Amino acid sequence: MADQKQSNNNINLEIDRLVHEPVRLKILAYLSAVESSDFVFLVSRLGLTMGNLSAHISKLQEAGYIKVVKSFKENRPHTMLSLTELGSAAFSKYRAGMLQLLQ
Amino acid sequence: MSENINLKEIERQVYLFFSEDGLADLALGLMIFGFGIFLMVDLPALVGLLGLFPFLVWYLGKQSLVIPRIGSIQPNQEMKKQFVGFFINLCLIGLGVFVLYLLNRGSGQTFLSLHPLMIFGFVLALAISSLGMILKTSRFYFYGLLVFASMAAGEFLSSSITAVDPYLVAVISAGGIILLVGFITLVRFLKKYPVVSLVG
Repeated sequence: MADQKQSNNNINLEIDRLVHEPVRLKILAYLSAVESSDFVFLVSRLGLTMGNLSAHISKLQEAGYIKVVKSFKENRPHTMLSLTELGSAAFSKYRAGMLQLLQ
Repeated sequence: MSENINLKEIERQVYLFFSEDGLADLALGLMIFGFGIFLMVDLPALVGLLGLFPFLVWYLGKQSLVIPRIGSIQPNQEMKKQFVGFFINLCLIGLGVFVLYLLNRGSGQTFLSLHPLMIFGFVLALAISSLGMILKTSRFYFYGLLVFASMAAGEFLSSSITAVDPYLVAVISAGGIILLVGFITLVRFLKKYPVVSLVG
């Protein structure tokens, strides 16, 4: 019993809080399903304000989980987002951790 | 705040990028409708345009109507493999049926030589349904069924019903229905997603 409690505590410690936040988890989930997506795609799919999405993206970028490429398309700013290897690994680890926790 | 995160649903939402706007329906409808019209007016040489014009409608529609509203994505390797696999299989099946048809042409009363249009309809239906499976969009199964039914029905209908070849009437009707569904889907899409004006 004590061993199981200890084991559960260990699993809890493995949960990445940056990934655990629902909006950031969704961002990572969307990016894991594509090669890359632009900012507008995530705005339309997540139903967030641009400011809110930008804040979450900045946090994920700072952690090195996503790559942000800014450019100009037809004289308008265009932002492409993609998952980095670190981000992909963090997302996979989070999924595995959650599955383990719930089993 | 309650958040419902379903990875399968997220994956489906990503695939919806390719079909939610109805442009794929419009392109498919144009191909089938145009095929019927060109044959009806006896201009089979223009059938070659059927690949180009629907593609232009799809591409220009994506660029001018869809991307400003819901943005764009680059498909991942898995998606690319599915699309490439689909087109390779489509070409192989088409080529296989064509070769079979040529081989059976002189060999009397075989099913293939008696019902080439029905076989063509079946292959087309298979291709359209496969596309629906890849895009995770169930209305393409209906289109597949519709195309097959129209070609099969056209072949069995008596030509005395109408002055025009009933086969062509059936094909044009099927193309028209697909065009109509595509148009309604596009209008709904445009109403649902306003243009996003953003910096970023």
